[in-house]
Amino acid sequence: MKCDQARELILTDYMDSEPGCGLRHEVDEHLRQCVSCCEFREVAREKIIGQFASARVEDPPEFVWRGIREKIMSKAGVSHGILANSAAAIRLAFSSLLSIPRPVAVLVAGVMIAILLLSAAPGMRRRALYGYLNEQITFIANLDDGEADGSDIFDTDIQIGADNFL
Amino acid sequence: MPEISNELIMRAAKGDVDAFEEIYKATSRFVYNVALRTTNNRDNASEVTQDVFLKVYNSLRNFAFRSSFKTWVYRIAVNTAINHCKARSRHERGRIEYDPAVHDTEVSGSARSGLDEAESERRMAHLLGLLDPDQRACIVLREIEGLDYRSIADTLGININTVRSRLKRARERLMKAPGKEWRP
Repeated sequence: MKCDQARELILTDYMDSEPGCGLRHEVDEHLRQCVSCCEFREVAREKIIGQFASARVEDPPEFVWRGIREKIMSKAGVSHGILANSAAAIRLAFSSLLSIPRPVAVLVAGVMIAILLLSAAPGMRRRALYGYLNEQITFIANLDDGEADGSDIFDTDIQIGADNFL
Repeated sequence: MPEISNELIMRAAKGDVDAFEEIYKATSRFVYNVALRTTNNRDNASEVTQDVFLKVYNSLRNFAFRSSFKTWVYRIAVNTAINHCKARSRHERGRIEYDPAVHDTEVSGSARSGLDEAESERRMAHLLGLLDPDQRACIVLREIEGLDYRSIADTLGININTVRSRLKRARERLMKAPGKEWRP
């Protein structure tokens, strides 16, 4: 094994005792023969392993969790707030409808239904109107054929009126 | 890190904050220390830790239990810390400064060991500051958290050979730092 290869392994798998380092035996063999690489290994141990061996492990400050909790709760509060506001708005709309006095509500509903029905069937409305007018014309004509006198003008007027309608 | 049950994760995913606090207690030390060593600043470490746990909380519903929960949290932690560090480095035009606020708490103590520890922490912070964020994350996971190459690769979502090459380059850089000299 050459020095370059040995030093590369010293800086990685050999130093970290990685189980996948199949060349550990060869590195050891090389180190027995190479003073320079032995020195390299010692300096590496001191400047790398030794520097971090005393690293202190700390717990995060208390305020970190408080901050996280506050953010979670405020976010949950906002979403609950939106839902609550929506529900309240719906409840308010229904309650304002329910607060109308019942007779007024029934009357309003009846008018609304009548308007809807009439607007939905205009032909029915016209037929009813024409039927009523024809009945009235026939009735007045019959009166004229009988005992009526001096009523020509009236008869003519009626005929004109009926023509206008029909 | 204590084991976290799937039942606890599912409770937290449904919005149980107390269950999430248990997860926080079990993982926050790792997250905070990785953030502290990677960002080299206590304020930034606290900020990163908050970001990490808010990301974890918001993503819990998407956790599919296909990988280890621990590895998943580690990955979010390291990536958040690296991204924070890179953004900060860009902001400061690539200049990474040693922040004396990181390791100044123990110096006021009268004990000699406290002074030694403070000096050791200062030195460590300086060495980590010599590395780029990706190399620093590898060194922190290996030297301080004690993860093996496979776990580092899983945590960072990179190939195991990339872990090797990052560690090698990082250590070559550390070998050139002032201190005991090695002359070929």
